[in-house]
Amino acid sequence: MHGKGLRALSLVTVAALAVTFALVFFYAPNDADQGFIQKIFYLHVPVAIITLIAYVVAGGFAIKHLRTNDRQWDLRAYTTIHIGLIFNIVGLATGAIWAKASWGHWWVWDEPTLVSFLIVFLLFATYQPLRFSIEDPERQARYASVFAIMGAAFVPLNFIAVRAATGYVHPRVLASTGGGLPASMGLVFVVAIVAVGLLFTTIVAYEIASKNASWQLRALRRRLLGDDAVAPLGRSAAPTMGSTLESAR
Amino acid sequence: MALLRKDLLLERRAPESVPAMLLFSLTTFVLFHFGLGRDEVSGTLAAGVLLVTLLFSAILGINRLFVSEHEEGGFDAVLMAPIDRTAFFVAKAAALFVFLVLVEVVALFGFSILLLGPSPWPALPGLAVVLALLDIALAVVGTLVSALAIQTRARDLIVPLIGLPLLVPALIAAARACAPLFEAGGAQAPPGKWLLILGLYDLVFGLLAYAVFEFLLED
Amino acid sequence: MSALLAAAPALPLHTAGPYVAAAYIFFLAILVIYVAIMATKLQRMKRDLNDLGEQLEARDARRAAADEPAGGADVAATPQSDADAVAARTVVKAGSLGPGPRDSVGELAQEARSPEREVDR
Repeated sequence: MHGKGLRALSLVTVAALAVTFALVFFYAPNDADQGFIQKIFYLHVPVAIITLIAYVVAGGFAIKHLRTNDRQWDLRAYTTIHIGLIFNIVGLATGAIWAKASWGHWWVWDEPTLVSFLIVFLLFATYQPLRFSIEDPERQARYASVFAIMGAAFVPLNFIAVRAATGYVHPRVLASTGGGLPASMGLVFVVAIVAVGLLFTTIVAYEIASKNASWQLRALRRRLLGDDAVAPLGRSAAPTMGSTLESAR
Repeated sequence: MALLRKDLLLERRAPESVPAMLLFSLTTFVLFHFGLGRDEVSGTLAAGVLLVTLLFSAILGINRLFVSEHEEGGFDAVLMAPIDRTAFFVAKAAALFVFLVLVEVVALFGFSILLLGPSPWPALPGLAVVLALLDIALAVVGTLVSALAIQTRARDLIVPLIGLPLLVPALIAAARACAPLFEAGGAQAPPGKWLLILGLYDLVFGLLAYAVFEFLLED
Repeated sequence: MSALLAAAPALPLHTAGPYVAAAYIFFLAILVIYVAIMATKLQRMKRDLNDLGEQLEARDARRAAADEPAGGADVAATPQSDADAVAARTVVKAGSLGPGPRDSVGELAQEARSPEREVDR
């Protein structure tokens, strides 16, 4: 996505976030049981859901990469996991704050979403070290894709196992949006998911545009000024393109 | 099949992984005795001690799985030989599975003498099922992670770093399935739910490994 | 859910407020940090582009100076390469938003490339 598309996406995202926050604080009723603290729900749960979706989507990109051998797909998978990790941290932090406020502890083991979220974080946090430890860019991309596919399969499996381990007396987020919540809360929740999803997409699009631009810049510099003008690439966890314009496309 | 025989032969001639894994397991039991301050364990605690120990000792074996190939340029030999990549994977996973079973037979003996409170005999059939399912998970995921890590700079870091989180669901399921087997009041059958989840894990990662393994060998 | 919620009594606003604020502020802080990082990246890219443009102009000027004594045959080439330099910059600027007009970048690069510089990766 470039130029106008990116701008439109950014504007829509900002608008969606603004609408979400307005709805959360001025429209959604206070939860009958939990009161005001339940407002964290509209941030924490959408962030968590989008993160998990992102990891699965990254697995799809990785499959595409292995199929086509096109480095752009690796870049997409890398960026999606990278931003997913940041969202993952936000999800964990907001979850911890919610737990502290509601139950008095910074961590609760009987909240399956939170626990499986932590495990998923621990797994995907190894994505960057794995990439970093492989020097050959082509192999790095290939191995990273294999990892991303494994990770994508891991996300639902992990959720099933953790959920089964924590029993059934605890908040079930997805179920609670349907039955347990008043319609107005459900509406705000859906809007929040859309807004966070848009935010995620926008950031990923920015990140990809930025990476592509710096590749092109580098390639151009090399073509115009010679190899000496280009500092050698250090070892990097980020995907690297061959410094030619052709491969940067 | 010949590939599997080669791995087993290699291990028999110059035993490396299995004794190391075994010693590691027994040492860990001793550590748990002092760490927990308990002479005997049962129930969930016993399941946890046993399975965490087995998991960590499996990591040792996973770390070494492709070392001989790597050191002798064996990857190239395998790649040149008209061997199906999938067969190579299956042979490796089978070798790891055999190692794990060998280790577990002795480690279980040690565990029941050193730490386990209730008698191990009634638990044995159920335990065999759970451990077999767990070993499949360890063998499949272990082989994948090992192949992933062997070409990296920090092999011994990457294996536990990636392997342990990946195996968390398998450990959850195996530990929950084992816990009733070690109940102080007598062994009860492992709940089917957990065997099912463990089996699902094996199935998903088995299919996945089948699909992606060749990408780890390509050069 | 109701069982758990029953165990978690409703917090009065003055207790809950700071927690909710903390969560949302954390989220916004991460966003702001991200924007700041992106801005730094963009600035660096802009600096590199300026640098590249300057070097290109200097090179063209040198070339023009070298060509001058040789005669008028190359005079026509000078404005042409100036135009190229300008085109390069505009193209790169567009490129920073993505590989839009790639072909012109490719052609330009093709033109600027001398065989011994062609080292891929």
